[in-house]
Amino acid sequence: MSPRIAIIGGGSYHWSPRLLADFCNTASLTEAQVVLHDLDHTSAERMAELGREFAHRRAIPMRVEAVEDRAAALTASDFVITAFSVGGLESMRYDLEVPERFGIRQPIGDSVGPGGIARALRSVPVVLDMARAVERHAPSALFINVSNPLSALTRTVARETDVAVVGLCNELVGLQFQLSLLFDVPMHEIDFVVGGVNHFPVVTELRLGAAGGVDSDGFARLRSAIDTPPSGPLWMQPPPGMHWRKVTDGDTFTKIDLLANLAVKLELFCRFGVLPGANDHHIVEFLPGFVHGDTGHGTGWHVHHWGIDGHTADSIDDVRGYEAARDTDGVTSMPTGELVAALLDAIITGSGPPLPVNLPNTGQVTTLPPDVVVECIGTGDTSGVRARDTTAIPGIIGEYARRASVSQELTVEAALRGDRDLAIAAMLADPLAGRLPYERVIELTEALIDATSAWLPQFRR
Amino acid sequence: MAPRICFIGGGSYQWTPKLILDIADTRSLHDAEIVIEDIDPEPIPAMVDFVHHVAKLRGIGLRATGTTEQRSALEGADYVVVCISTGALESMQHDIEVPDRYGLRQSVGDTVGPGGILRGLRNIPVLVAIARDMEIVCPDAWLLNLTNPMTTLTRAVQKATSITAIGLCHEVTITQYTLAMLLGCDMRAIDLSVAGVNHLPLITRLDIAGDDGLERLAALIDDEDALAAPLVIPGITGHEAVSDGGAFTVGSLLEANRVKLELFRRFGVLPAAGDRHLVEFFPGFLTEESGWGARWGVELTSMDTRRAWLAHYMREFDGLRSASELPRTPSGEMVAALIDSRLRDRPRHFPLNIANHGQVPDLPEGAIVESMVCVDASGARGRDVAPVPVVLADYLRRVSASQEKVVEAALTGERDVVFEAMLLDPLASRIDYDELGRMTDEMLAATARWLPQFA
Repeated sequence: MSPRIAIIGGGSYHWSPRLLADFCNTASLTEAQVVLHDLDHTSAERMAELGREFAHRRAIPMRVEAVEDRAAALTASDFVITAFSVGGLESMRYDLEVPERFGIRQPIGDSVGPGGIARALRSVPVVLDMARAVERHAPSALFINVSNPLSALTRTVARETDVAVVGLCNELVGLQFQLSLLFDVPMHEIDFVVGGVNHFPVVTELRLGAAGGVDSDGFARLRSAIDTPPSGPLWMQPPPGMHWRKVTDGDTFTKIDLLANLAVKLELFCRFGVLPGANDHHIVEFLPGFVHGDTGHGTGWHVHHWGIDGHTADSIDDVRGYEAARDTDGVTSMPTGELVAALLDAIITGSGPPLPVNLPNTGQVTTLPPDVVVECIGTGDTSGVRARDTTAIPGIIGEYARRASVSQELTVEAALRGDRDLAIAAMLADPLAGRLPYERVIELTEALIDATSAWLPQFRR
Repeated sequence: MAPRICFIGGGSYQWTPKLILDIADTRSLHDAEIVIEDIDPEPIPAMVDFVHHVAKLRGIGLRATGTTEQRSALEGADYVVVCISTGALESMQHDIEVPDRYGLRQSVGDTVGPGGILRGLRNIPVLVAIARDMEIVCPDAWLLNLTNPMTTLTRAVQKATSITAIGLCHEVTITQYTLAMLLGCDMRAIDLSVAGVNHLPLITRLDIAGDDGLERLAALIDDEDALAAPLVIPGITGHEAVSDGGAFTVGSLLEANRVKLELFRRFGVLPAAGDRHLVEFFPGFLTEESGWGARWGVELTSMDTRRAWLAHYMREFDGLRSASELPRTPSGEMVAALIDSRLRDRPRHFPLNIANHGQVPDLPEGAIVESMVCVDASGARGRDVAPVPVVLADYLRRVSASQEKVVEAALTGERDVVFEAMLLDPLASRIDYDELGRMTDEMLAATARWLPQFA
């Protein structure tokens, strides 16, 4: 079979090189027909060229082309991947800088909090427009969203269209990597049960070691690792992009450093018995007590703040990464950690390992409302993708996940209707934005909408 | 048959006198037997004398006895009115002062927020002990709880014992009174639906003799010509009786309710408690930037003010004891009317706090909610099903989740669960995570003598 894969936003320096490399490394995708579409057609052509070069270097039949007409790009596709950012860094600057004027400093600002809400307001109509086009031109395709805010955008498609949709995020792969470093267990032998929303997925059960192995209670081992930090080197040094802070002397990162850089999630684990799975810089946006101005917005917890400069540096790195991929021989065989290729492989071949996925809640997370998009472990096969487990997020952590999903639902509604009052309602319900004085929540919402009005046609009065 | 009504904490100068007057003015209760119980023997003789003074002036058979023995006081009771305060102002001082040092100022401090949580921890074991005694000596009596924090206390009794417990609070009645003044209608012409928790009840429907009262209110608050119209506010129940009366206008009354009207403007339902209570549920109104609520017309109730109130209640009681004529104005409290409705099987609707069986669909089943409740001989049950707008529903759920943890912590004595309650509470959780842990420990330590279960 030769699947047809359309990437909307296919000119992305971040996504396309990664996705194309992963496709090359996935046997079932080496014959794929990949179609790149982008508002900036030149960028799509640039990435198509890279894809063709990859196929040539690997001598595989994968075909890659840039298609300027969106309908033509979508038609007959089996999979549609969306990777986009409305306004890019130019709009995101406001998501960070406007709230900062009000005293809210967001480490990332792309999922919840004022920045995440503003990003959703401009992205929801765009993802809906794409999904409508998929409904028309490729109605049986699986729509795979990798764009942020992932929960809100995936929810929009599920709520407003008949398109089958899944959101994919690599944060839990990051957790697998961190636990693999801590326990010296291969990543694929780390399995968990998860419930939550994107960037706040909560591990409710943890298994280490091969299936049926002795360490079915990974939480017990994690507890003892926290009580008695293990010595010994890390099997791999953390890539610089992870922005770890070093707390020990010496040149190399140790397991002590590892634990220090997981401080927030481990604190929550010790206290509440479940493990939030995303990186701490995401988690704290859901639990604003960790990013309080009084304590330097989380510096004591080693929370890394990207800031617009950090995001800009990341995007420059993406361009460099592209150039390196273009100018070196061969194609990296290192998996990127992204999940798109793995999910496609499972669906095409009919089997594959369990993966973290974002799907509408049909009961897999019992403590979150029905229909909202939840992050959970899923499996793919020829009939599609579905949740594997049913779980409840207990206590406080479950309550905070619930609060986030309530605000997200209001955000989607506000974005679809272009309703300022609903946007204010979403901010009031958001734990981070809702901490401001009442009048300031309203001013902040208005200021964000006004600052980004170029990308918010639905809010024009 | 005349009921036996036991007052636990019956030495309360704030509550007992006005409830006794209401009872004396309720025909079916003229021959009631009153038991004044208090752990403090000092005010008991005066309260018992007061009951007999009232009976004599009214020419009715009302009579009273006094005791400091809880179990014997409860013996044979039909109704148990609870108006206690564990540690009184001495303990409450810490509820206010410790959070203050952490940058959390509370306008009341008796419901939610750090103060409400600690007050719950102190009072819950006392309430549960009362209900346990009731299980033994008067298992069919109703516990009528007037004590704060009303929601968690009533919930604890319901969770831990088999006693029927109902929470009674005058805030909705006061709002009804305010609405009658603003809209120029008879209070009795008002019917409303309420959904929420105590001190955050939301009026979702307001009917004034067939008119949509919320629509009328919306029109009034935007009508600049109406603002100068005068109002005469007689002294009413609760703290308002203590504050200056003076000449009010529509405008000044609206000014005194800015928080609830702002929330009404934004969400279309009307919070029906005093603004000083509301801001503790919506801490965005209670920030340093807004002068701790001053910008919204909210004053922080200081410990000095509370002491002044107490002195006022004592003076007022002294006046009543020696008065040869007693007021006949209903106090606005619901104890006497509720008992009368049950006794005579005369159905009436009251805003009461009972377990949720669907009347507040946005809150969990079994949580104690404030809603319109029908009381008659067959009991007390919710009358309406009242959903609320999503943001307000979520604020309710947040406090409700915290309140459930307060009950759990108070019953188990688990310090970690206290922290969880704080972390879920919108007001307490505004501060830094580590600071919140320190504040929790400090509050528990400061009030340890009233918290035996945490020893």
